[in-house]
Amino acid sequence: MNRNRQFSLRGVAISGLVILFFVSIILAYYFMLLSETRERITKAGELNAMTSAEQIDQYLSQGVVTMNLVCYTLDSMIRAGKSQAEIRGFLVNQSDAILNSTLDTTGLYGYIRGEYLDGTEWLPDADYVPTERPWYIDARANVGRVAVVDPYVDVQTHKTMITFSKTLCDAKSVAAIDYSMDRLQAITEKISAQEHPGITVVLDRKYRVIAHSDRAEIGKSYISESGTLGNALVNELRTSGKKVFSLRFDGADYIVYTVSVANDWLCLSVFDATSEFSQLRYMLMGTIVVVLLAVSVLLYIMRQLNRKQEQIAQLSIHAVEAIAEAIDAKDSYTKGHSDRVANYAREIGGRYGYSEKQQDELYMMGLLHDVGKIGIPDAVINKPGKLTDEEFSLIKRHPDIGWHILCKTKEMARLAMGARWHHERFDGSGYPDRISKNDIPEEARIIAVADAYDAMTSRRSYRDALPQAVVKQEIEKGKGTQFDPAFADVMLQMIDEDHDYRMRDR
Amino acid sequence: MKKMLAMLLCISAAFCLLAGCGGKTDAPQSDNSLQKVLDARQFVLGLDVGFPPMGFADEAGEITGFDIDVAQEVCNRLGVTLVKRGIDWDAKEEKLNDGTIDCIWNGLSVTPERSKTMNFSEPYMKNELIFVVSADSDAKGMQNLAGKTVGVQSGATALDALEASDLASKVSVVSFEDNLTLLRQLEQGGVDAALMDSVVAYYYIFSSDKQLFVLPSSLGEEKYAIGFRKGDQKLRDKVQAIISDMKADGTLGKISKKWFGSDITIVK
Repeated sequence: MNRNRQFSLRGVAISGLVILFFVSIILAYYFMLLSETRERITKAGELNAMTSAEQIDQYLSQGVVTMNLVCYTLDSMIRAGKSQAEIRGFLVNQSDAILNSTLDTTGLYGYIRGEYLDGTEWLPDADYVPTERPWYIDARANVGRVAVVDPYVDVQTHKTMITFSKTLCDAKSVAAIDYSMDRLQAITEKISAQEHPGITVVLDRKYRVIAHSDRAEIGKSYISESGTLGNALVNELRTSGKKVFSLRFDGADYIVYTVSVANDWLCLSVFDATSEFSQLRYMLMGTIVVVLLAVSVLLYIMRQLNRKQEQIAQLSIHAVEAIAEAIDAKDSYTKGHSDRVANYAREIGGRYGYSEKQQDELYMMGLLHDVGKIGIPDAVINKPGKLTDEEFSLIKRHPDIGWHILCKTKEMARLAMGARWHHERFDGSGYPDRISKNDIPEEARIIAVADAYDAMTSRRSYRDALPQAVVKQEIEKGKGTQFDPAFADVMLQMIDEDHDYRMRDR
Repeated sequence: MKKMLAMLLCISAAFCLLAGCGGKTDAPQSDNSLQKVLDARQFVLGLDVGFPPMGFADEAGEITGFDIDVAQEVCNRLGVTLVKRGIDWDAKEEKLNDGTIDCIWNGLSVTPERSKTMNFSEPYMKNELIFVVSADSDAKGMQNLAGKTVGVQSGATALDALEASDLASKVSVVSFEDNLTLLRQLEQGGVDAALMDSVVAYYYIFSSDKQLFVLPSSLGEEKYAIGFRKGDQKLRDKVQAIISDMKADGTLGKISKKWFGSDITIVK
């Protein structure tokens, strides 16, 4: 019973380890997949972000390039001392040329040498003060670089416009051109619609939304908001300084790419990676469930098989025990003899260092060592008086008969050794083969000790069990002659430990 | 069974590696830079007083400018007095390292060379190196400057940029103590062109009636930052944190508007 419990405990431990093993493999695989997915999203997103930024930058840089070209000519005209009329003429010409190109613009204008000049010949109201306009102020503030001025809504066209303006060589004059933001917004919306489901945002230096795939966001100032995704983005932008970063907001995972466009603006591509990651999470859970199921089914099958095998093993042991009982039944005085020899042999083997499996074999050997007695007439075996020589030689045939019986069964061929040589003596004076020492199989030498011990400690028709001291003395005496001293010593040790002389036929 | 255990061990070891065992942290050195400023109740800013509009002496001799206004606000928030100390721009590194000043804050351009000897803040403004010529000059662009005299401020990045350019061998270079002296020399015909920071040039030309012109191309873009001593990380971080706050609450934009008409700072 103890053995059985131990066995099931071991089984649980092994199944636990197997499950742990599989789960760790899955987890390792999951983390690999996770980082791979992240990398894949990052790479794909980066490409998207770059393309979006490129398109936006391209659009904006058209304005920058146009301004630089126009201003180069205007600088030369100012340096050459050309008249205001000549400069206005140039602005009108250039505006015509630009209006005929692909750009969505209202034309060039400027504040040149203290006078407002307009390329579309628009006449400002009397209260229009050019030097107070954002295009003039921002151009001056940007000291020579093309300024991208904050968007405004044109009164006439109701379009959102941005202005590119630049200070000219005298540090006081400024030239400017207005662009429609519709194109930039359209680009932004198109990018978000076509590419990865995400958000594209263009922010200015003050973190205000210049363009956004969601129109409603335009014009918002993310830095002064609180608790919005925009604000979370800006906070991360201000602190991390990384070009690519991931952001968790409101339970969602975002991956954000930043590319700077047109001077100091930022183009953000925000990808919602929540679904990709949760998909992976579901997959992980699914896999674990499936593997756990598979492993438990496997373990169940293995247990069933094990039980079957055990049953078969039990069956054969029972069969052998039945045979042993049958042998003992032939002899009215040796009831339980085979069983006891089997147990003693097992004990000797165990103490000598035999494995569990070897002990089991010894046990079987012990059970069947007298199987040959089946072939001896009952009359001889059960004869109460002294045996004649003839009868005795009949008895002496039982090892050989046993040998032949057991050799016939393939599975028990090794057991035949015990049957054949358990009457051999260590000094070679035994029977049937008169072999000695190590020629006698070790198992047979063990059986010999166990057999002799049980013979002395069993009742016979003519006597009771011998006293323990006598038995001990006899074993001692037989050391080296009848018994292998090594096993005789083990037997003696067993006797010494058996204080109440329980190890006998009772 | 043993094999399995070994395998499990391997896997757990691999997990450890994946998780990246070991968070490396920099050992904090004995950096009492911030405490020193707080204890002294003053923050000494080093500047070249001829650098409008970043930091310069006005007609009344009062030191003023964009950098000064920002520094004043930083000091107000730190609870210390701002001390403005005029220094020879050529000797700014020495003054910083011998403790005469706590920082160089005066339109100081970030260069790899300077990064080796100073601890820079994040950049706060952009600048370009441009040429200024007088109205009667026949130079319409950089290509016309060959054979002419170009003035620069000594100790400024302009000289390095010029020496690194194609023009280096074609022009003769004259150094001046500060940009205002250099511009006066240009007006008087002492030099044919002045190479300087666009921020200074445009401000100067705009606010005077002088007939000076900026040439269209530049010798490169630069960024301004504050220079601290190499080891003064805590002071630098504190000042940087205050400037970031000022960006968020709009104070920095207001100061920029005052001096430039618009917020042109590039603080994150």
